[in-house]
Amino acid sequence: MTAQLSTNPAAEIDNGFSFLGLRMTRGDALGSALFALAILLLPLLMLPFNGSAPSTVYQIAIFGIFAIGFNILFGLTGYLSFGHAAFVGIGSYAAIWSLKLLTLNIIPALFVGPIAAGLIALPIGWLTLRRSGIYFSILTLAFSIMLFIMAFSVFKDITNGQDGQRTSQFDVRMIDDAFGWNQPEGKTREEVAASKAALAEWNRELAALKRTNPEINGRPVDWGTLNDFTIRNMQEAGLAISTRPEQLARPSIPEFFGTPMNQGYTNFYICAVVLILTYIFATLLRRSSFGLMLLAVKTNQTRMDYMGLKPKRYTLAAFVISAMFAGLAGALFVAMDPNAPPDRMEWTESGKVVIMNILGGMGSVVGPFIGALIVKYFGNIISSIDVSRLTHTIEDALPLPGFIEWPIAHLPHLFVGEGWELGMGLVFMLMVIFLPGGGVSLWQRWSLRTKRLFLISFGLIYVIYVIDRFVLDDALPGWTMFLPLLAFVVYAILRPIVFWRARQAEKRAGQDGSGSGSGGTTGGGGKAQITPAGGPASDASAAAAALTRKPTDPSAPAPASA
Amino acid sequence: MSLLTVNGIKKSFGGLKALNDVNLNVEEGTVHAVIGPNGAGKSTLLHTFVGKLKPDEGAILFNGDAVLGKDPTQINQLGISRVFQTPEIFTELSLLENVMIPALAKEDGTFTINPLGAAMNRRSIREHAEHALDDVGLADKMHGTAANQSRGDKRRLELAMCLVQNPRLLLLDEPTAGMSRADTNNTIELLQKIHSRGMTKVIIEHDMHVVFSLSTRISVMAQGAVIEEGTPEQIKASARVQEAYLAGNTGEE
Repeated sequence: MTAQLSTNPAAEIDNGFSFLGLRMTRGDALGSALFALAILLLPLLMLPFNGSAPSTVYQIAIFGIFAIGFNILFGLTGYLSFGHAAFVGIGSYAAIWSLKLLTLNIIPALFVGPIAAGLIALPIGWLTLRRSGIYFSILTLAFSIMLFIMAFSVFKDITNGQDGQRTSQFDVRMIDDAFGWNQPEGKTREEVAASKAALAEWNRELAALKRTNPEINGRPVDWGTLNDFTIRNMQEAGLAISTRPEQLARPSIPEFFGTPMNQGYTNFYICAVVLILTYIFATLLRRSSFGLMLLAVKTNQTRMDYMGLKPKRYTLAAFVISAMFAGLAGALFVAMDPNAPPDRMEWTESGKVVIMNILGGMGSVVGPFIGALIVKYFGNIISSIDVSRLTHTIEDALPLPGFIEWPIAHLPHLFVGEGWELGMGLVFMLMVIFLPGGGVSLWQRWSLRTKRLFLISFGLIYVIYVIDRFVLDDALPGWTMFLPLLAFVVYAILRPIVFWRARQAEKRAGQDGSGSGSGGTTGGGGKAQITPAGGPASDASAAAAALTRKPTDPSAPAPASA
Repeated sequence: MSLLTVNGIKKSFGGLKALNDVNLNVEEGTVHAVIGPNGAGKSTLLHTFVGKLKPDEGAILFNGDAVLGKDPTQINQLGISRVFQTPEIFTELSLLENVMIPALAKEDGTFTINPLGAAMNRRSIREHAEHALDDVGLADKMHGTAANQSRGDKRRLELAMCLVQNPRLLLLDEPTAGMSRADTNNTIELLQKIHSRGMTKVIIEHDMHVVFSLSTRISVMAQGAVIEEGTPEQIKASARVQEAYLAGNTGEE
């Protein structure tokens, strides 16, 4: 499916770049740097697209981590798991319990989540990887549904069922209490300890009362819902219960060394750093001999057997690593918002990460992130467009009579707003049919000139946005900044069609003449194949493989091709 | 010294006796050809050497170690490599990567997680791989995708993948099947060149021209058993073999 699988398209040994003892090729280092820059600027970059709200960008980052990790299994080894959302859920629950039992600091939670997910992935992977292809997918799906249902039944004490598990100020938090972290504001450690001791003493007293007084005045006592009012009633009824000692209110919001995780972009930047580290790890992994073995698993496991390799162990390692990234994503969700609902484990979430990988381009490192960006953008922004806003936009753009305006506003409304999933599905379908390699392969197929045009038209969005915002005081209607990009899309769709016609003509001429007609097509790139009429898909990917072999690494968009 | 000893191997598929008491001794440093008509059990025999098939009876010893009961991975680690009849390669990877995988397997063992070091930067591995590709004449195509190579090149690639591990015993299953005359001659030259390194080889082949140009010892199989064994001269002279198989075809047409 992917045009380019090889780990090293460059011809020479590229000793590249050494950082903290990790050696990267020059292209990878450049790609990672560009990626890091883009992520750090993501809130700014998303401004013209209305998607720079902290909750949107941090979700994009977390799903990016999930998708990049998933790609280690799906993109490299080709094993399609339909159960990875279960590991997100496990990571979430493990992280929330770390916040509840150990400390409100998110760092231990971010380690506990992936470790728990990895430990549970190990036996599941060991079992499911005995089969490949569709059977593997179904087995993983079965396991994830099983875990989802168990979250409501067997493990209800851990998960708190449908409501989800939350942090509270009454949590134990052993590390916090031992070191006096995250204690009530303005209180010393001794005061807190004294208050805790008093409360513990009161609880013991209560337990003793429970044993000796099962009922008062002939009515059973509801010991579970003791509040100050019922306690006073009991005291009036002659029960020797003292007033509950004052509970000092402790914080229940996760924090990062003193910074609470409820401050918009702080949250995002924590996620962004983890995402960048994930990206660098995935890049290194893909180039490593381990990554090469995973690609080998995808193509020919039999040959590996006869070479003295154990392909099963490699797939299991990839399964566990990808599950750990899923667990990390789950832990980050909890660190950003201390609530672990079971919906995160639902199998539709597993499907979403598959869609992200396919949309963006599986096998490449940056592709899954682009897929996550597209899916979350649809889910968070496109889904909030309603028909009145569409109508307003159209009214602003063109003064049209109502009977024309109505269909123009209502037809797209099928695919945006509440119907965003339909729009998403349409994009997904078109992508799989015409661009099986995902968004990244589109970039790879473009010629240098097309790439430049794309970057220019994309950059113009920001230029127009800045001019409109700071020079013209928002005088331009919002849609104008997308005009260059729209022009590019029209160009990108029309050009291959024209180009294809020309090539057909050339072929016809070539058949009459010397027969060397196919040589001149390299300049325009394999773009001709993305048109509906561009010939069978295998042809297209072979041509794309031939074209993209030399040029750039998908993770490093900048270095020029041919 | 005998490198590979096959004692009384039997294998039946249902009622068909594919191997019926096969005995074979492959001496170290020889090129041992196994010939015979279609269905004589040559490929089945080779399958038992690499653990793809388990014989019903008998024993196979490689350098004193029992081969039976080991899986293909373990057998490879003993030092046996095999070239398949239809090339088993990693089609989506480049030729260089194809050869680096067995080189890494030889160096790192059956399983290693080292996700942080670039494979291509491992100079010794890369040099080994490039050398092996150079040996089979594919050095100039090493960055091409394996799937896009010609059938002959795929076979040579697979040969390089075996050679890079420097096995003690190389098993070749019809290395020239489906090749043009020129390609066949190239392959013969190539195998002769490799032979100078003293690697022991077992070759299964139909083409008598190939067999007589390469082998130092020949076993003739028919109906699941070895009916004759000897030097190429002895085999050419053997009346039994002439009758059973060769029918005058000694590669000297």
